[in-house]
Amino acid sequence: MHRTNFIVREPLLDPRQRVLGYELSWQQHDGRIPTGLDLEGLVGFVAEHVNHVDQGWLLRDKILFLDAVPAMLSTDALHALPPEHTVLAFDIRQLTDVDVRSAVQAVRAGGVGVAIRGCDLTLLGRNLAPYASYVEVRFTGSDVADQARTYASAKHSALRMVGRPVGTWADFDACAALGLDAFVGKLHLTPRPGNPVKGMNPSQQIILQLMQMVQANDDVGRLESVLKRDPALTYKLLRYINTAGFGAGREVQSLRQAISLLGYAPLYRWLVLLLATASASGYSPVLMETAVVRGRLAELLGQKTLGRGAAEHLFVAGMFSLLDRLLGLSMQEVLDAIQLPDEVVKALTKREGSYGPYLALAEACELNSNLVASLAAAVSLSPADVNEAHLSALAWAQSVGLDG
Amino acid sequence: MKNILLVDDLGIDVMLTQLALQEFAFDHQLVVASDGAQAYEIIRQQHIDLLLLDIKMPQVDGFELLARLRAEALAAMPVIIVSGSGLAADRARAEALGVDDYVQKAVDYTGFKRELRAALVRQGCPAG
Repeated sequence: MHRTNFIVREPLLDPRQRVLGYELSWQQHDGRIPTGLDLEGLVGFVAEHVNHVDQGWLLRDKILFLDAVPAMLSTDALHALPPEHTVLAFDIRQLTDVDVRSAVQAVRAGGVGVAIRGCDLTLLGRNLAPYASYVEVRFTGSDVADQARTYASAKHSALRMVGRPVGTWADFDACAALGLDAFVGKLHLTPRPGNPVKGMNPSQQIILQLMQMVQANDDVGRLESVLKRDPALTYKLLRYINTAGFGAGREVQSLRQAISLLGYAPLYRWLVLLLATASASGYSPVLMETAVVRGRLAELLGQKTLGRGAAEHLFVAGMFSLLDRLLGLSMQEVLDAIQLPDEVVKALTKREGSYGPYLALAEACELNSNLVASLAAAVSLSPADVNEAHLSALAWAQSVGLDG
Repeated sequence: MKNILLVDDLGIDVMLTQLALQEFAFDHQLVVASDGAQAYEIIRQQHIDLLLLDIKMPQVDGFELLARLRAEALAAMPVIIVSGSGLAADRARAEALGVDDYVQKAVDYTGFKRELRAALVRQGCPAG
């Protein structure tokens, strides 16, 4: 299936908008529902790409939610995934068979999480703990808050409740206040009304200045003197460079060392990352992580055909595509503040130019959109290429160490 | 509107049965009890049109409740056993106690729904 279809990811957020994990599924189009074999294939593909032989679980503290069928309970691939980071989501109808229930209980005993979909949550007081660690709350109609209230009052202490779809920020706040544990959806891509983030703080002004200096190949000494104005930035910049495998082969201890070893171009990406994370208020961890994954995915997608230099630009384009929301500015204001290569600007404003299709493809992987296939075909990438890059980008975003 | 009492101690079975009832889309109200003793009290207190009864439950099991209801002539309502047991002995015992129908929980949801629907229709519920 990974050779013919595309993986779609949706983040699971906690009430503080931190990413608890991701739900991965096959894109559904033309009414085609993935078969049991397709879903088994997803577990195998994921296990192969985010569980490294030497480095272990590449998604760090993140939990993966995967659509499941009973046959998956005995696949070898399931055992290749760390149980504490794996949640299999079953429709309750699949748990009619007592043998399936026994198998579910066995994987639960082994530490694998199980989420149940489709149950009537007014009956949540009933004991589901032997079978489930999560239940999915599906909201319908307009009064989500009222439904959430019912569910919250019926909540069984051993079960965590995952709400979907939570379509507005008002609903998100209501659900969070009522004690729902996690939310799935694309709400983070919708600007939050009244978001207190607006414009750039002093640290971001310094980063902006550094970005301009790097673009102009300014003298290292001048760069250092600007960076010294904010020691916390130096620390954070070097931490990013070192944690994410800058490619130097040894720990980079100063800006001068980083530039002498690797040149200016790769430095720019870390400054972009720094710019996005340096917001002091209204910071949205999920938006930040989405930007990093999108940037890295665009970069990986373009690397094969466009080359390394262009791929660096694609990372910047991917990050910048959410920078307006991260900074509380319009895209035009962002572009006025930071001079970017024309091709990056074309990609950001119109999804055109040589980078536009790659950025659009990276974005489409966040949505269950039919466009993914045509966008991938347009840049001559196979589903397997896109899926591998997607999981690689997801893993890379964890390695950057965005928290803290 | 039919008032249905579902008696089952397993939360997951309660949810599956309730889901099936919802999918049949007939006008009903569901009351749930987790064992025979609780069900007995509900039947004493409110009108129930149909009883869906599991056999194996803690304290007062399905057979015991059925026997008590029939003996006391408290409940003339139809009673459908919904059980995982396919044992002929259990079925025979239920019939001897005056059960109206017997649905064995099938291994797949579609089969379970089909059996439950047939039993409901036989007992006068317009399960669609």
